Amino acid sequence: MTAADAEQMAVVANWIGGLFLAPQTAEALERHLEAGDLLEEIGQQLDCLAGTRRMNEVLAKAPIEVISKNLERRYFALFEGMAGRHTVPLYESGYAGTGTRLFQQPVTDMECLLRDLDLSVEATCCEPADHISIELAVLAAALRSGNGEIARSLAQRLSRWGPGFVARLCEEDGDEFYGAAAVVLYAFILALPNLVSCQEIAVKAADGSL
Amino acid sequence: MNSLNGSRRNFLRGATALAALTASGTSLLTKGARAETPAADVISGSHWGVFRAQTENGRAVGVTAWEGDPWPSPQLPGVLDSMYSPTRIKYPMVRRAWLENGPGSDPAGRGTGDFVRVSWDKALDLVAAELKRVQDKYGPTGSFAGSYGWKSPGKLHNCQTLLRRAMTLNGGFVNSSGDYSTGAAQVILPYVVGSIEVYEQCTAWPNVAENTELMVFWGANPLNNGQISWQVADHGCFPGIEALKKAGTKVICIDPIRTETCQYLNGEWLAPRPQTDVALMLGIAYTLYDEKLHDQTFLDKYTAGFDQFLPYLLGKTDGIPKTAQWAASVCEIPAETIQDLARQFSKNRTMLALGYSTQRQHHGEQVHWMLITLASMLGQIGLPGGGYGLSYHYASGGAPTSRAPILTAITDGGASVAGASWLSASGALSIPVSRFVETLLNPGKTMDFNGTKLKLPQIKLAYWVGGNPFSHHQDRNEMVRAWRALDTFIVHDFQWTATARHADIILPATTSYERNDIEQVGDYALSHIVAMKKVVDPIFESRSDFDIFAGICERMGKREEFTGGKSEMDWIRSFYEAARLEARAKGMEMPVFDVFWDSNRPLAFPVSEEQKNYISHKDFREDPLLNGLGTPSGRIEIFSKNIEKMAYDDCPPHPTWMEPVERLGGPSVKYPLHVAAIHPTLRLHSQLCGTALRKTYEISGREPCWINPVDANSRGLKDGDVIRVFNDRGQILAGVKVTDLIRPGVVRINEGGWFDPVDPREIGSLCRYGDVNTLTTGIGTSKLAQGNCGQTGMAEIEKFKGEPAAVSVFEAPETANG
Repeated sequence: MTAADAEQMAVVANWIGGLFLAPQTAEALERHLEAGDLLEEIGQQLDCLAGTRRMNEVLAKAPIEVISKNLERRYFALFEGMAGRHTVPLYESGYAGTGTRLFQQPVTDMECLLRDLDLSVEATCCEPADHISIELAVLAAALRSGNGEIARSLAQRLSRWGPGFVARLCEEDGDEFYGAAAVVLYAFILALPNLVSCQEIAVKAADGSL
Repeated sequence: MNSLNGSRRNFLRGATALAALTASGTSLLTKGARAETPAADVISGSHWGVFRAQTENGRAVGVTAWEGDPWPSPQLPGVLDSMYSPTRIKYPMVRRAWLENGPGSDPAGRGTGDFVRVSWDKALDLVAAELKRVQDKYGPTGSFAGSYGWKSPGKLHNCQTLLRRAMTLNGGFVNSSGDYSTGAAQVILPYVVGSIEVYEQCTAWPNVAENTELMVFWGANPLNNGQISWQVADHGCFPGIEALKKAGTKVICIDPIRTETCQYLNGEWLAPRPQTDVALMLGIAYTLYDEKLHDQTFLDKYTAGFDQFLPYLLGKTDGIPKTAQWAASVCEIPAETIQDLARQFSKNRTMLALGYSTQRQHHGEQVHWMLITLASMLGQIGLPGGGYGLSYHYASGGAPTSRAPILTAITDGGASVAGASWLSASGALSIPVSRFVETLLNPGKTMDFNGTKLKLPQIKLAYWVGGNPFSHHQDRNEMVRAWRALDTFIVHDFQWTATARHADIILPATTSYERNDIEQVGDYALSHIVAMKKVVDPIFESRSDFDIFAGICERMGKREEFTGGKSEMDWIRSFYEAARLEARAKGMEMPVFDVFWDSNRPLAFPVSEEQKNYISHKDFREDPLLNGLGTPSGRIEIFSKNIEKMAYDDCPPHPTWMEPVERLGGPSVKYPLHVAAIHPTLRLHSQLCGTALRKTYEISGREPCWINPVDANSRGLKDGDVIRVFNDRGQILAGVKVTDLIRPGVVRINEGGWFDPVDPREIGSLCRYGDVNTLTTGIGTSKLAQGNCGQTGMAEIEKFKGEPAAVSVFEAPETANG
C-alpha cells in the first residue's frame, strides 16, 4: 500500500467517523450538499452508491436548517441513550456480547492500541476509546503512520463489531441519513481487508438487506 | 491498491474537501500516549453497603462487597451497571422548544425526547440566566428547590444540600418539608412522644433476641428493606434477625404479603385488609381493656389522655364499641384471632415492630398513634425486649450504635434545626414535600398544615437533583398535568430516568463512584467512617453536582461563597478532622486524615455493652419526670390538646379509625383490588431499575404484579400474562405472577418502576412498563401532616388484548456479535 493509498483511506475513515461523533451542524450539512460529486465518487469507489446517493437525497429534501434539526433529532433518538430499545450504541462494548454495559474490554484494548501509536484521545472528547468514531480515527492514524499491524488489528476489530452496529442502525434508521451512512460504513468495512492487505479478515454479514 | 474502483487521483483530489465536511473538523487524537493506570482495589460506599471496586486502566471491572459486611446486598452488582449504563446522560441537553422559544414553551412536549446537545458553558449560562429571570420576576417563591429523593450518600456531594446552598445564594427559593417515607408519622409523633421517633434507634437487636418472647412485624420487612440505608448500609439488622431465629422467638407478621422476613422466621402470617390496621389495633385494644389485660399503672404514670380515648374505644362517643367483632368486620381477621392477639401480646414480652408503609395511606397518622397507644396499654415500653420499634425494617434500625463521632457535612446556608437534614429551615417558604403537585395546580390556595395555614405560591421553576419525582410521587397523570404549569424544569441526573426525560435543561451528573466523598456506615450503627473514594474519572461529560453548582454560582458572582474557597478534598478533610476532635473528646484517637484515606479501609468504632443492650425509652420509664418526653405533658399523649385545638375533621385528638377514600371492602369502593405499592426487592425505589438486575424479576418485560390464585382464576390469568391494571387515575401494563404469598383482594406492584407512557403528550397514556404510582392517589394523609398516600389505591385488572407495546424506557437491546 502506498502512502497515497493510506492517506485516501484515512480520510475516508475520518469522514465516516465524523458523521457519528456528534449531530452535524447546518454548515457541515451544507458542505456535504455542495460536495455531492465527491460523495458520488466515494460511493463509486466503495461500491455503495446507494448509500451516498441516499445521503444526498435526504440532505436535499428540505432547506438545510430544517434538515439539520431533523438530523439532530434523529441523532438524539438513535445515539444518546434515551430511546431505550431503539437506541443504537456507538460503542464496541455494546456489541461485545457481554451484556449492555458500556466501557468494557474493548475500551482497554483500544487504549492499548492508542498507546502503541503514542496517541491519546483529545481531552475535549469525553467519549470512550471504543466509540466508532475513535476507532475509525485510530485506524486513520495507523494508516498514516504506516503501522500496518495496528491498521490490520483495527480492520479486524471493525470487521467484527461494525456489521452489528450497521445492522442495528439500518434497522432503526432505514433509508434516512444515518441509515444511509451505515451503508457507507459497511462498504468501507467490507473493503478494509483488501485495503490493508489482510485477506484473512472475514467480515461477518450484518444483514441480508445490505 | 486495487480494491477501490475508478480514479484514485480524482478521489484524492477531493480528500481535503472530504476532511472538512463533518462538523468535528479537527482530529480526535493528539500526540502523546496516556500513561497506563495501574490496577487498583478501591474502597468506597453506597446505599447498598461498603464495597471494593477493582479497576484496570482506569476502568472499573468488578465490584465486591467489603469483607466486613455481614450480609452483602444482592443489589451491589447494580453499581457497575449504573456507572456504565447505556442510558447514561452524556452531555448537557436542552429541550428544543425551550431553547428555541424560551421558558414555558410547549410544556406538553416534555418527555417526548426532543433535546439539543449544548456545551457546558452554554448550559450553565442558560441555567444562571433562568434562575435570575424567575427570581427577578416572581421573587424567591417562584422557584422550587425542595428537591427530594434518595440522593447518593456522602457528606459533601449531597446534591440536595448543594442545590439549596446555591439557591440561597441566588436569593431564595421554596423548600419542602418532610419526606415520602414517613410524611404522616413524623408530623404526628412529636405530639405523641415528643420527637419524630421514626428515625430514632429501637431497642437493640441483641436485647430483642435475648428478651423478646413475641416479635410482631406489622407491615415491616427488614430482610428486604434492611438491604439499603440512607447513609452507607451496614446490614446490621441481618445478624439481629438471625439471632432472633436462633433464639426461637415466636414471630407474628401482620401484612397482606407473606414477606421474606415472615418466611425466614417461619412466622405466623396474618393478612388483614390493607389500610385497616387502626381498626385491628382498636379491636386488640378493646379486648385488652375488656379482659383487664391492660396495664393501667403504666397508663397512669407514663401517658396522658387515655381516659379521653377510652370512651371512643368503648363506643360511648360514637355508638360503636371497637370490639374484636367490629374490628373483624373491617379488617377481615377473625374476631377470635384478634382476641387471641390481645392475650398473646399481654402474656408475653412483646415487641411491636411497625413499618413505614402503614402510614402512607389516607389518615395514616392514626396508625403510629394507635400502635403506641396499644403498646402503652401493654405497659412494656422501656422494658427489655418490649414496647415498640418504628425502624426495625429500615436501614438496620436496632443495630447497636457505636461510639463514633458524627461527621459534619456541607450546609445549605439556611438556619439549621435539629433532626434530619431535610428538616432544614432554609428557603423563603416550605411546603409539605408531597404537596408539590397540589401547589402547582392551586397557586394562591390556602392549605392547612400542622396547625398553620400555608398560602401556596405560584411556582414557575423547579430544580431537581438526586431524586426521581416521576417515580416517587403519586397520581402520575395529575402530576404530568401539573408539570405543565412550570416554565422551566432543571434536572441533574446520570441516567435518563422519567424525571430526566421531562426536564427542560438536563445536566449530566456523575454517579457517586466518580467523585470523592466521606460517609458513616449504618444510619443507626454508625459502625465505621468510610472513604467513598472515586472509583473512576467522570464518565462522558458528567460533572459532580458540586462542580455544576460552583459553575452556576460563578455566573452569579458567588463562586467563592458557594465553594467556601475549598476543593473537594479540602471539604472531606475538614469533615474528618472535626470528627477527629470529637473522637478525642470521647477518649478515642483517630488516625490523621492521610493515614485514614490511604488505608483503603473503613475506620471502625467500638460498641459499648450498654449500646448492645440499648432499650428504647428505658430512661423515660426509669424516671418520667427527669427524662420526660418532649410533649406538653412530658408523657406519651394518647389525647393531644394541641391537635384538638387544630379542630381538623380528618385528624381527631386521639387515635381514631376513619375510612380512607378507598379501600378493600370499604363502603364506597369502585374497583375491587387493593394495589400494594410496596418497596421493591432488587432496587432502591426507582434506582437500579435501569440495570441488569431488572432481568431477574421482570415478567414478560414488565414490572411484576403478584396476584392470589383466587383473583387470578376469576380473571383467567396465569403466570407470565401481560395485564392492564387500571382505575380512574391511570393505566399500566404489568406481568402476572400468581402466588399465594399474597392475600386475596390485593395485588402487589412494587413502587419504583420507570414511567414509560406510550405518548408522553397524552395525559392518561398507558404506561408500558408498570409505574404503580400511576394508580395511587395524590391526596394528602390529612390536614395535619399532608403526607403522601402511596398505599391508597384500588384498581381492576384485565388480560391485555392484542400485542402489548414494547417497553421503551430502558437500554438498547443486547446485541451479541461475537
